[in-house]
Amino acid sequence: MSLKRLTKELKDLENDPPTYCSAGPVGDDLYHWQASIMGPPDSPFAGGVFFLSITFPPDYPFKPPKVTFETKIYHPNISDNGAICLDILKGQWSPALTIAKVLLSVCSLLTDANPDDPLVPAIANIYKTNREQYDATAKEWTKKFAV
Amino acid sequence: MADIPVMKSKKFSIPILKDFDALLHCNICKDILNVPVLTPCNHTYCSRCIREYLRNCNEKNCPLCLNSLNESSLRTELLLNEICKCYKNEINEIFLSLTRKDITVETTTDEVKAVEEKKQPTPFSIFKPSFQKTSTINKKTKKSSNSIIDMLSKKKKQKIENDDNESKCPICNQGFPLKFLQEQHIDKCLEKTKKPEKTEIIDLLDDQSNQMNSKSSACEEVYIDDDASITIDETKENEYIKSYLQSALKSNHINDAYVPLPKLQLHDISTSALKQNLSRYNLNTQGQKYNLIQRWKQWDVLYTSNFVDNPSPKDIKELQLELNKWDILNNKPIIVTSNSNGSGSNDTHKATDVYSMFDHKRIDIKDDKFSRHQWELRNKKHYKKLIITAKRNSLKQRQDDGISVKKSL
Repeated sequence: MSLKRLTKELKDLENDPPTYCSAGPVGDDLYHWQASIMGPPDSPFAGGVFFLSITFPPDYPFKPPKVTFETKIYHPNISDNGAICLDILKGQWSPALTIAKVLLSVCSLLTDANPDDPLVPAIANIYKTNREQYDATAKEWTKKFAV
Repeated sequence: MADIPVMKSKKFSIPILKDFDALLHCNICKDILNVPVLTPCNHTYCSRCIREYLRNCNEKNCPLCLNSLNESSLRTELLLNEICKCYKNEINEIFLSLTRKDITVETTTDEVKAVEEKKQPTPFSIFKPSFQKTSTINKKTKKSSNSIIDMLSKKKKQKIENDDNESKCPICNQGFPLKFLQEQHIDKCLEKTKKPEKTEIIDLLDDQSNQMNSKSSACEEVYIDDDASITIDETKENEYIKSYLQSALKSNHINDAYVPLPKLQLHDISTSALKQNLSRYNLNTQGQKYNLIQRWKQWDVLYTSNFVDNPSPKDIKELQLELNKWDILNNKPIIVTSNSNGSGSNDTHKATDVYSMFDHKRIDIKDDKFSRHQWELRNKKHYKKLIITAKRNSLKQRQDDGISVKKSL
Protein backbone atom coordinates (compact mmCIF):
# COMPACT_ATOMS: atom_id res chain seq x y z
CA MET A 1 0.00 0.00 0.00
CA SER A 2 2.82 2.41 0.90
CA LEU A 3 4.26 2.61 -2.60
CA LYS A 4 0.89 3.18 -4.23
CA ARG A 5 0.01 5.89 -1.79
CA LEU A 6 3.36 7.67 -2.14
CA THR A 7 2.93 7.70 -5.92
CA LYS A 8 -0.50 9.22 -5.43
CA GLU A 9 0.79 11.88 -3.06
CA LEU A 10 3.51 12.81 -5.50
CA LYS A 11 0.98 13.16 -8.29
CA ASP A 12 -1.26 15.30 -6.09
CA LEU A 13 1.67 17.52 -5.15
CA GLU A 14 2.42 18.10 -8.82
CA ASN A 15 -1.18 18.89 -9.69
CA ASP A 16 -1.99 20.99 -6.67
CA PRO A 17 1.24 22.27 -5.12
CA PRO A 18 0.98 23.81 -1.63
CA THR A 19 2.08 27.40 -1.23
CA TYR A 20 5.52 28.14 0.19
CA CYS A 21 6.55 24.46 0.00
CA SER A 22 7.70 21.94 -2.53
CA ALA A 23 8.67 18.30 -2.17
CA GLY A 24 9.80 15.38 -4.25
CA PRO A 25 11.65 12.07 -4.06
CA VAL A 26 15.42 11.80 -4.14
CA GLY A 27 16.20 10.05 -7.40
CA ASP A 28 14.20 6.86 -7.89
CA ASP A 29 13.71 6.12 -4.21
CA LEU A 30 10.08 6.88 -3.43
CA TYR A 31 10.68 6.33 0.29
CA HIS A 32 13.12 9.17 0.55
CA TRP A 33 12.03 12.70 -0.28
CA GLN A 34 13.34 16.15 0.21
CA ALA A 35 11.39 19.30 0.58
CA SER A 36 11.92 23.04 0.68
CA ILE A 37 9.96 25.59 2.66
CA MET A 38 10.06 29.32 2.01
CA GLY A 39 10.11 31.29 5.24
CA PRO A 40 6.56 32.59 5.78
CA PRO A 41 6.35 36.37 5.09
CA ASP A 42 4.86 37.16 8.52
CA SER A 43 7.71 35.46 10.39
CA PRO A 44 11.34 36.34 11.12
CA PHE A 45 12.27 33.59 8.64
CA ALA A 46 10.89 35.53 5.66
CA GLY A 47 13.19 35.51 2.66
CA GLY A 48 14.93 32.28 3.65
CA VAL A 49 14.65 28.91 2.00
CA PHE A 50 14.80 25.93 4.35
CA PHE A 51 15.56 22.41 3.25
CA LEU A 52 14.10 19.33 4.83
CA SER A 53 14.64 15.66 4.28
CA ILE A 54 11.83 13.16 4.65
CA THR A 55 12.04 9.38 5.02
CA PHE A 56 8.94 7.25 4.89
CA PRO A 57 8.73 3.99 6.86
CA PRO A 58 7.81 0.87 4.85
CA ASP A 59 4.47 0.73 6.66
CA TYR A 60 3.54 4.30 5.74
CA PRO A 61 0.82 5.69 6.11
CA PHE A 62 0.25 3.66 9.28
CA LYS A 63 3.44 5.11 10.74
CA PRO A 64 4.48 8.77 10.44
CA PRO A 65 7.28 9.92 8.10
CA LYS A 66 10.54 11.15 9.62
CA VAL A 67 11.03 14.82 8.82
CA THR A 68 14.16 16.82 9.68
CA PHE A 69 15.49 20.25 8.84
CA GLU A 70 18.70 20.29 6.80
CA THR A 71 19.12 24.04 7.07
CA LYS A 72 20.08 25.51 10.42
CA ILE A 73 17.22 27.45 11.95
CA TYR A 74 16.70 29.42 15.17
CA HIS A 75 13.45 28.05 16.53
CA PRO A 76 12.33 26.76 19.97
CA ASN A 77 10.81 23.59 18.49
CA ILE A 78 13.61 22.68 16.08
CA SER A 79 16.80 21.26 17.53
CA ASP A 80 20.36 21.91 16.46
CA ASN A 81 20.49 18.68 14.42
CA GLY A 82 17.24 19.49 12.67
CA ALA A 83 14.77 17.37 14.66
CA ILE A 84 11.28 18.86 14.73
CA CYS A 85 9.02 18.76 17.76
CA LEU A 86 5.61 18.49 16.16
CA ASP A 87 2.77 16.41 17.61
CA ILE A 88 1.55 15.11 14.25
CA LEU A 89 4.99 13.65 13.54
CA LYS A 90 4.78 11.62 16.74
CA GLY A 91 1.78 10.50 18.73
CA GLN A 92 -0.81 12.56 16.90
CA TRP A 93 -0.01 11.10 13.48
CA SER A 94 -2.99 9.91 11.48
CA PRO A 95 -2.95 8.06 8.15
CA ALA A 96 -5.38 10.66 6.83
CA LEU A 97 -2.55 13.20 6.88
CA THR A 98 -0.39 13.69 3.81
CA ILE A 99 3.11 15.04 3.40
CA ALA A 100 1.61 18.25 2.00
CA LYS A 101 -0.32 18.73 5.24
CA VAL A 102 2.76 17.97 7.30
CA LEU A 103 4.76 20.61 5.42
CA LEU A 104 1.97 23.13 5.94
CA SER A 105 2.03 22.38 9.66
CA VAL A 106 5.79 22.91 9.72
CA CYS A 107 5.19 26.21 7.92
CA SER A 108 2.71 27.34 10.54
CA LEU A 109 5.09 26.18 13.27
CA LEU A 110 7.60 28.66 11.84
CA THR A 111 5.11 31.50 12.23
CA ASP A 112 3.71 30.37 15.56
CA ALA A 113 6.26 28.59 17.71
CA ASN A 114 5.13 26.50 20.64
CA PRO A 115 7.40 27.62 23.53
CA ASP A 116 5.49 25.53 26.09
CA ASP A 117 6.74 22.27 24.56
CA PRO A 118 10.27 23.27 23.53
CA LEU A 119 13.08 21.21 22.06
CA VAL A 120 15.56 23.98 22.77
CA PRO A 121 14.59 25.45 26.18
CA ALA A 122 17.06 28.35 25.85
CA ILE A 123 15.40 29.66 22.68
CA ALA A 124 11.94 29.07 24.17
CA ASN A 125 12.91 31.16 27.17
CA ILE A 126 14.01 34.07 24.99
CA TYR A 127 10.90 33.66 22.86
CA LYS A 128 8.73 34.06 25.95
CA THR A 129 10.63 36.80 27.72
CA ASN A 130 12.19 38.88 24.96
CA ARG A 131 10.34 38.49 21.69
CA GLU A 132 12.28 41.28 19.97
CA GLN A 133 15.60 39.62 20.63
CA TYR A 134 14.21 36.29 19.39
CA ASP A 135 13.04 37.89 16.16
CA ALA A 136 16.37 39.59 15.63
CA THR A 137 18.41 36.40 16.18
CA ALA A 138 16.07 34.37 14.00
CA LYS A 139 16.43 36.95 11.21
CA GLU A 140 20.18 36.90 11.57
CA TRP A 141 20.34 33.09 11.37
CA THR A 142 18.04 33.10 8.36
CA LYS A 143 20.33 35.55 6.58
CA LYS A 144 23.38 33.54 7.52
CA PHE A 145 22.20 30.01 6.72
CA ALA A 146 19.10 30.14 4.56
CA VAL A 147 19.56 32.85 1.96
CA MET B 1 -5.90 3.06 -10.45
CA ALA B 2 -8.93 4.47 -12.17
CA ASP B 3 -7.59 7.88 -11.51
CA ILE B 4 -6.97 10.18 -14.39
CA PRO B 5 -4.31 12.84 -13.96
CA VAL B 6 -6.30 15.53 -15.72
CA MET B 7 -9.18 14.82 -13.40
CA LYS B 8 -7.29 16.59 -10.64
CA SER B 9 -6.14 19.48 -12.74
CA LYS B 10 -7.81 22.82 -12.57
CA LYS B 11 -8.71 22.62 -16.23
CA PHE B 12 -11.41 20.07 -15.55
CA SER B 13 -14.53 21.29 -17.25
CA ILE B 14 -16.91 20.64 -14.33
CA PRO B 15 -15.20 21.84 -11.15
CA ILE B 16 -17.84 20.21 -8.99
CA LEU B 17 -16.68 16.79 -10.19
CA LYS B 18 -13.31 17.43 -8.59
CA ASP B 19 -15.04 17.63 -5.23
CA PHE B 20 -17.14 14.61 -6.01
CA ASP B 21 -14.03 12.70 -6.97
CA ALA B 22 -12.23 13.70 -3.76
CA LEU B 23 -15.22 12.70 -1.61
CA LEU B 24 -15.23 9.18 -3.02
CA HIS B 25 -11.60 8.61 -2.06
CA CYS B 26 -10.49 6.75 1.05
CA ASN B 27 -8.52 8.94 3.44
CA ILE B 28 -6.02 6.18 4.17
CA CYS B 29 -5.03 4.77 0.79
CA LYS B 30 -6.19 7.88 -1.14
CA ASP B 31 -7.72 5.59 -3.74
CA ILE B 32 -11.40 5.29 -4.66
CA LEU B 33 -13.20 3.59 -1.77
CA ASN B 34 -13.12 -0.19 -2.00
CA VAL B 35 -15.84 -1.83 0.14
CA PRO B 36 -16.49 1.26 2.26
CA VAL B 37 -17.27 0.92 5.96
CA LEU B 38 -18.73 3.54 8.28
CA THR B 39 -17.34 4.29 11.73
CA PRO B 40 -19.55 5.31 14.70
CA CYS B 41 -18.17 8.85 14.22
CA ASN B 42 -19.59 8.83 10.67
CA HIS B 43 -16.35 8.63 8.73
CA THR B 44 -15.86 6.25 5.85
CA TYR B 45 -12.80 4.23 4.83
CA CYS B 46 -12.02 1.17 2.76
CA SER B 47 -12.71 -1.86 4.89
CA ARG B 48 -9.19 -3.19 4.38
CA CYS B 49 -7.45 0.10 5.08
CA ILE B 50 -9.16 0.82 8.38
CA ARG B 51 -8.87 -2.78 9.59
CA GLU B 52 -5.18 -2.93 8.73
CA TYR B 53 -4.68 0.42 10.44
CA LEU B 54 -6.50 -0.57 13.62
CA ARG B 55 -4.48 -3.79 13.86
CA ASN B 56 -1.14 -2.13 13.27
CA CYS B 57 -1.47 0.81 15.62
CA ASN B 58 -1.38 0.91 19.37
CA GLU B 59 -3.93 3.67 19.68
CA LYS B 60 -7.20 2.70 18.10
CA ASN B 61 -8.51 6.02 16.82
CA CYS B 62 -10.45 7.22 13.82
CA PRO B 63 -7.78 8.72 11.51
CA LEU B 64 -9.94 11.75 10.77
CA CYS B 65 -11.41 12.79 14.14
CA LEU B 66 -9.19 10.78 16.54
CA ASN B 67 -12.21 9.43 18.41
CA SER B 68 -11.64 5.96 19.80
CA LEU B 69 -12.69 3.26 17.40
CA ASN B 70 -13.24 -0.50 17.62
CA GLU B 71 -13.10 -2.85 14.70
CA SER B 72 -16.38 -4.42 15.77
CA SER B 73 -18.24 -1.13 15.42
CA LEU B 74 -17.56 -0.77 11.69
CA ARG B 75 -20.65 -0.98 9.50
CA THR B 76 -20.87 -1.66 5.78
CA GLU B 77 -22.28 1.04 3.54
CA LEU B 78 -24.19 -0.75 0.84
CA LEU B 79 -25.27 2.25 -1.19
CA LEU B 80 -21.86 3.87 -1.14
CA ASN B 81 -20.33 0.56 -2.13
CA GLU B 82 -22.38 0.55 -5.32
CA ILE B 83 -21.76 4.23 -5.96
CA CYS B 84 -18.01 3.72 -5.73
CA LYS B 85 -18.08 0.59 -7.84
CA CYS B 86 -20.11 2.42 -10.44
CA TYR B 87 -17.83 5.44 -10.35
CA LYS B 88 -14.67 3.35 -10.54
CA ASN B 89 -15.92 1.41 -13.53
CA GLU B 90 -17.37 4.34 -15.41
CA ILE B 91 -14.86 7.06 -14.59
CA ASN B 92 -12.86 6.54 -17.75
CA GLU B 93 -15.96 6.73 -19.83
CA ILE B 94 -17.26 9.80 -18.04
CA PHE B 95 -13.96 11.46 -18.59
CA LEU B 96 -13.72 10.43 -22.22
CA SER B 97 -17.24 11.66 -22.86
CA LEU B 98 -16.42 14.97 -21.27
CA THR B 99 -13.25 15.46 -23.27
CA ARG B 100 -15.08 14.47 -26.42
CA LYS B 101 -17.64 17.07 -25.57
CA ASP B 102 -14.91 19.62 -25.09
CA ILE B 103 -13.72 19.00 -28.62
CA THR B 104 -17.20 19.46 -30.03
CA VAL B 105 -17.62 22.65 -28.05
CA GLU B 106 -14.54 24.01 -29.67
CA THR B 107 -15.95 23.36 -33.10
CA THR B 108 -19.22 25.12 -32.36
CA THR B 109 -19.64 28.81 -32.89
CA ASP B 110 -18.21 31.41 -30.59
CA GLU B 111 -21.72 32.48 -29.81
CA VAL B 112 -22.36 29.31 -27.85
CA LYS B 113 -19.25 29.93 -25.81
CA ALA B 114 -20.30 33.49 -25.10
CA VAL B 115 -23.70 32.32 -23.92
CA GLU B 116 -22.05 29.69 -21.76
CA GLU B 117 -19.91 32.23 -20.05
CA LYS B 118 -22.71 34.64 -19.37
CA LYS B 119 -25.12 32.13 -17.91
CA GLN B 120 -24.79 31.03 -14.36
CA PRO B 121 -24.27 27.32 -13.90
CA THR B 122 -27.54 25.48 -13.43
CA PRO B 123 -27.59 22.47 -11.14
CA PHE B 124 -27.71 19.70 -13.68
CA SER B 125 -29.01 17.07 -11.32
CA ILE B 126 -32.58 17.90 -12.21
CA PHE B 127 -31.99 17.37 -15.87
CA LYS B 128 -32.80 13.93 -17.15
CA PRO B 129 -30.66 12.94 -20.10
CA SER B 130 -31.87 13.86 -23.51
CA PHE B 131 -30.89 11.47 -26.22
CA GLN B 132 -31.01 13.74 -29.19
CA LYS B 133 -28.62 13.18 -32.00
CA THR B 134 -26.02 15.81 -32.56
CA SER B 135 -24.28 15.90 -35.85
CA THR B 136 -20.87 16.19 -34.26
CA ILE B 137 -21.16 12.97 -32.27
CA ASN B 138 -21.33 9.84 -34.34
CA LYS B 139 -23.48 6.92 -33.40
CA LYS B 140 -20.66 4.86 -31.96
CA THR B 141 -19.65 7.46 -29.43
CA LYS B 142 -23.22 8.08 -28.61
CA LYS B 143 -23.84 4.47 -27.67
CA SER B 144 -21.02 4.42 -25.22
CA SER B 145 -21.55 7.92 -23.99
CA ASN B 146 -22.54 8.46 -20.40
CA SER B 147 -25.65 10.30 -19.34
CA ILE B 148 -23.55 13.21 -18.08
CA ILE B 149 -22.48 14.13 -21.57
CA ASP B 150 -26.11 14.11 -22.60
CA MET B 151 -26.96 16.26 -19.65
CA LEU B 152 -24.29 18.66 -20.71
CA SER B 153 -25.38 18.82 -24.29
CA LYS B 154 -28.87 19.37 -23.00
CA LYS B 155 -27.63 22.14 -20.75
CA LYS B 156 -25.93 23.90 -23.61
CA LYS B 157 -28.95 23.60 -25.82
CA GLN B 158 -31.14 24.89 -23.06
CA LYS B 159 -29.01 27.95 -22.67
CA ILE B 160 -29.28 28.86 -26.30
CA GLU B 161 -32.98 28.31 -26.30
CA ASN B 162 -33.42 30.33 -23.16
CA ASP B 163 -32.47 33.37 -25.15
CA ASP B 164 -35.48 32.89 -27.40
CA ASN B 165 -37.69 32.65 -24.31
CA GLU B 166 -38.58 29.08 -25.13
CA SER B 167 -37.19 26.09 -23.30
CA LYS B 168 -37.37 22.37 -23.46
CA CYS B 169 -38.73 20.50 -20.51
CA PRO B 170 -35.83 18.55 -19.03
CA ILE B 171 -38.11 15.61 -18.36
CA CYS B 172 -40.28 15.15 -21.41
CA ASN B 173 -38.19 17.07 -23.94
CA GLN B 174 -41.09 19.15 -25.28
CA GLY B 175 -40.59 22.82 -25.96
CA PHE B 176 -42.58 25.40 -23.97
CA PRO B 177 -42.40 29.10 -23.23
CA LEU B 178 -40.05 29.51 -20.28
CA LYS B 179 -42.66 30.96 -17.92
CA PHE B 180 -45.16 28.21 -18.53
CA LEU B 181 -42.50 25.60 -18.19
CA GLN B 182 -41.24 26.87 -14.85
CA GLU B 183 -44.59 27.55 -13.27
CA GLN B 184 -46.72 24.65 -14.40
CA HIS B 185 -45.26 22.10 -16.73
CA ILE B 186 -42.27 20.85 -14.71
CA ASP B 187 -44.38 20.04 -11.68
CA LYS B 188 -46.80 18.04 -13.77
CA CYS B 189 -44.01 16.22 -15.51
CA LEU B 190 -42.28 15.39 -12.24
CA GLU B 191 -45.48 13.91 -10.82
CA LYS B 192 -45.82 11.74 -13.86
CA THR B 193 -42.33 10.31 -13.47
CA LYS B 194 -42.69 9.59 -9.78
CA LYS B 195 -45.42 7.00 -10.20
CA PRO B 196 -43.63 4.51 -12.43
CA GLU B 197 -40.53 4.71 -10.21
CA LYS B 198 -42.47 3.44 -7.23
CA THR B 199 -43.81 0.40 -9.01
CA GLU B 200 -40.41 -0.12 -10.46
CA ILE B 201 -38.80 -0.73 -7.08
CA ILE B 202 -41.52 -3.13 -6.00
CA ASP B 203 -41.10 -5.02 -9.25
CA LEU B 204 -37.40 -5.21 -8.68
CA LEU B 205 -37.86 -6.81 -5.32
CA ASP B 206 -40.67 -9.10 -6.39
CA ASP B 207 -39.39 -10.45 -9.61
CA GLN B 208 -36.12 -9.68 -11.30
CA SER B 209 -37.03 -10.82 -14.78
CA ASN B 210 -40.12 -8.68 -14.70
CA GLN B 211 -38.07 -5.73 -13.60
CA MET B 212 -36.43 -4.96 -16.94
CA ASN B 213 -39.77 -4.69 -18.67
CA SER B 214 -41.30 -2.40 -16.12
CA LYS B 215 -38.22 -0.20 -16.20
CA SER B 216 -38.22 0.16 -19.95
CA SER B 217 -41.93 0.88 -19.96
CA ALA B 218 -41.32 3.55 -17.37
CA CYS B 219 -38.69 4.99 -19.63
CA GLU B 220 -41.05 5.13 -22.54
CA GLU B 221 -43.32 7.31 -20.53
CA VAL B 222 -40.54 9.67 -19.66
CA TYR B 223 -38.59 9.92 -22.88
CA ILE B 224 -40.71 10.07 -25.93
CA ASP B 225 -37.85 10.29 -28.39
CA ASP B 226 -36.13 7.12 -27.18
CA ASP B 227 -34.24 4.86 -29.52
CA ALA B 228 -32.35 1.59 -29.12
CA SER B 229 -29.15 3.06 -27.71
CA ILE B 230 -30.96 4.23 -24.61
CA THR B 231 -31.93 0.77 -23.48
CA ILE B 232 -28.25 -0.11 -23.48
CA ASP B 233 -27.50 2.77 -21.16
CA GLU B 234 -30.45 1.94 -18.98
CA THR B 235 -29.47 -1.69 -18.48
CA LYS B 236 -26.00 -0.54 -17.55
CA GLU B 237 -27.45 1.69 -14.86
CA ASN B 238 -29.61 -1.17 -13.70
CA GLU B 239 -26.61 -3.31 -12.89
CA TYR B 240 -25.73 -1.23 -9.87
CA ILE B 241 -29.28 -0.74 -8.70
CA LYS B 242 -29.90 -4.46 -8.94
CA SER B 243 -26.70 -5.26 -7.14
CA TYR B 244 -27.59 -2.73 -4.43
CA LEU B 245 -31.03 -4.16 -3.82
CA GLN B 246 -29.75 -7.71 -3.84
CA SER B 247 -26.90 -6.94 -1.48
CA ALA B 248 -29.39 -5.41 0.92
CA LEU B 249 -31.28 -8.68 1.00
CA LYS B 250 -28.11 -10.74 1.30
CA SER B 251 -26.50 -8.70 4.05
CA ASN B 252 -28.72 -10.34 6.67
CA HIS B 253 -27.20 -13.69 5.88
CA ILE B 254 -23.56 -12.71 5.64
CA ASN B 255 -22.84 -13.41 9.27
CA ASP B 256 -24.38 -16.87 9.13
CA ALA B 257 -22.04 -18.08 6.40
CA TYR B 258 -18.97 -16.40 7.84
CA VAL B 259 -16.66 -18.53 9.98
CA PRO B 260 -14.13 -16.28 11.69
CA LEU B 261 -10.44 -17.18 11.52
CA PRO B 262 -9.02 -18.77 14.69
CA LYS B 263 -7.49 -16.21 17.02
CA LEU B 264 -3.77 -16.90 17.20
CA GLN B 265 -1.45 -15.63 19.92
CA LEU B 266 1.07 -14.39 17.40
CA HIS B 267 3.77 -13.35 19.86
CA ASP B 268 4.30 -16.81 21.33
CA ILE B 269 3.03 -19.19 18.68
CA SER B 270 5.26 -22.01 17.43
CA THR B 271 6.29 -22.06 13.76
CA SER B 272 4.68 -25.45 13.18
CA ALA B 273 1.33 -24.31 14.60
CA LEU B 274 1.50 -21.25 12.39
CA LYS B 275 2.22 -23.38 9.33
CA GLN B 276 -0.65 -25.69 10.23
CA ASN B 277 -3.05 -22.79 10.37
CA LEU B 278 -1.79 -21.35 7.08
CA SER B 279 -2.08 -24.67 5.28
CA ARG B 280 -5.67 -25.02 6.50
CA TYR B 281 -6.48 -22.19 4.11
CA ASN B 282 -4.13 -23.49 1.39
CA LEU B 283 -1.68 -20.67 1.95
CA ASN B 284 2.02 -20.58 1.31
CA THR B 285 4.04 -21.87 4.30
CA GLN B 286 7.45 -20.84 2.97
CA GLY B 287 9.68 -18.28 4.56
CA GLN B 288 10.87 -17.37 8.02
CA LYS B 289 8.65 -17.14 11.07
CA TYR B 290 8.43 -13.38 10.67
CA ASN B 291 7.13 -13.83 7.09
CA LEU B 292 4.60 -16.40 8.26
CA ILE B 293 3.26 -14.03 10.93
CA GLN B 294 3.00 -11.17 8.46
CA ARG B 295 1.25 -13.46 5.99
CA TRP B 296 -1.26 -14.58 8.60
CA LYS B 297 -1.95 -10.99 9.67
CA GLN B 298 -2.58 -9.92 6.09
CA TRP B 299 -4.75 -12.96 5.48
CA ASP B 300 -6.82 -12.09 8.54
CA VAL B 301 -7.42 -8.57 7.17
CA LEU B 302 -8.29 -9.82 3.67
CA TYR B 303 -10.53 -12.57 5.02
CA THR B 304 -12.44 -10.47 7.53
CA SER B 305 -12.83 -7.55 5.16
CA ASN B 306 -14.13 -9.83 2.43
CA PHE B 307 -16.56 -11.94 4.43
CA VAL B 308 -17.75 -9.38 6.97
CA ASP B 309 -17.85 -6.14 5.00
CA ASN B 310 -18.14 -7.00 1.33
CA PRO B 311 -21.81 -7.36 0.39
CA SER B 312 -20.79 -9.50 -2.58
CA PRO B 313 -17.83 -11.44 -1.17
CA LYS B 314 -15.20 -12.80 -3.50
CA ASP B 315 -14.37 -16.48 -3.73
CA ILE B 316 -11.75 -17.69 -1.27
CA LYS B 317 -9.50 -18.69 -4.18
CA GLU B 318 -9.46 -15.12 -5.42
CA LEU B 319 -8.40 -14.01 -1.94
CA GLN B 320 -5.58 -16.55 -1.92
CA LEU B 321 -4.33 -15.14 -5.21
CA GLU B 322 -4.47 -11.65 -3.78
CA LEU B 323 -2.49 -12.73 -0.75
CA ASN B 324 0.12 -14.32 -3.01
CA LYS B 325 0.45 -11.08 -4.91
CA TRP B 326 0.85 -9.15 -1.66
CA ASP B 327 3.43 -11.72 -0.51
CA ILE B 328 5.59 -11.26 -3.58
CA LEU B 329 5.51 -7.48 -3.30
CA ASN B 330 5.80 -6.99 0.45
CA ASN B 331 6.88 -10.11 2.26
CA LYS B 332 10.23 -11.27 0.88
CA PRO B 333 12.45 -13.27 3.25
CA ILE B 334 14.92 -11.09 5.09
CA ILE B 335 18.50 -11.52 4.00
CA VAL B 336 20.76 -10.64 6.89
CA THR B 337 23.94 -9.22 5.44
CA SER B 338 27.16 -9.89 7.32
CA ASN B 339 28.24 -6.26 7.49
CA SER B 340 24.94 -4.87 8.73
CA ASN B 341 25.26 -2.75 11.84
CA GLY B 342 23.06 -3.17 14.87
CA SER B 343 20.61 -0.36 14.31
CA GLY B 344 20.21 -1.08 10.61
CA SER B 345 19.24 -4.73 10.92
CA ASN B 346 16.31 -3.84 13.12
CA ASP B 347 14.88 -1.58 10.47
CA THR B 348 15.38 -4.02 7.62
CA HIS B 349 13.43 -6.55 9.63
CA LYS B 350 10.32 -4.73 8.57
CA ALA B 351 11.55 -3.88 5.12
CA THR B 352 9.47 -4.51 2.06
CA ASP B 353 11.18 -5.55 -1.12
CA VAL B 354 10.89 -2.23 -2.92
CA TYR B 355 11.88 -0.46 0.25
CA SER B 356 15.08 -2.46 0.71
CA MET B 357 16.05 -1.93 -2.91
CA PHE B 358 17.40 1.49 -2.01
CA ASP B 359 18.75 0.58 1.40
CA HIS B 360 22.38 1.00 0.42
CA LYS B 361 21.72 4.54 -0.80
CA ARG B 362 19.81 5.62 2.26
CA ILE B 363 21.50 7.68 4.95
CA ASP B 364 20.16 7.72 8.47
CA ILE B 365 19.24 11.35 8.93
CA LYS B 366 18.79 10.89 12.69
CA ASP B 367 22.36 9.62 12.99
CA ASP B 368 24.79 11.92 14.80
CA LYS B 369 27.46 11.31 12.16
CA PHE B 370 25.14 12.66 9.50
CA SER B 371 26.80 15.54 7.72
CA ARG B 372 24.52 18.33 6.69
CA HIS B 373 27.03 19.90 4.35
CA GLN B 374 27.76 16.69 2.46
CA TRP B 375 24.09 16.06 2.12
CA GLU B 376 23.51 19.49 0.65
CA LEU B 377 26.34 19.06 -1.84
CA ARG B 378 25.07 15.66 -2.89
CA ASN B 379 21.55 16.86 -3.53
CA LYS B 380 22.29 20.32 -4.88
CA LYS B 381 20.47 19.68 -8.14
CA HIS B 382 17.31 18.49 -6.43
CA TYR B 383 17.26 21.43 -4.09
CA LYS B 384 17.69 23.88 -6.95
CA LYS B 385 14.61 22.47 -8.61
CA LEU B 386 12.67 22.61 -5.36
CA ILE B 387 13.62 26.24 -4.76
CA ILE B 388 12.40 27.19 -8.20
CA THR B 389 9.04 25.45 -7.65
CA ALA B 390 8.59 26.92 -4.20
CA LYS B 391 9.40 30.43 -5.39
CA ARG B 392 7.03 30.10 -8.30
CA ASN B 393 4.26 28.88 -5.99
CA SER B 394 4.66 31.69 -3.52
CA LEU B 395 4.74 34.27 -6.28
CA LYS B 396 1.55 32.87 -7.72
CA GLN B 397 -0.05 32.90 -4.29
CA ARG B 398 0.90 36.52 -3.79
CA GLN B 399 -0.55 37.44 -7.15
CA ASP B 400 -3.74 35.57 -6.37
CA ASP B 401 -3.96 37.33 -3.02
CA GLY B 402 -3.44 40.65 -4.75
CA ILE B 403 -6.33 39.97 -7.10
CA SER B 404 -8.68 38.94 -4.31
CA VAL B 405 -7.76 42.01 -2.27
CA LYS B 406 -8.52 44.23 -5.25
CA LYS B 407 -11.82 42.46 -5.75
CA SER B 408 -12.87 42.89 -2.15
CA LEU B 409 -12.08 46.60 -2.32
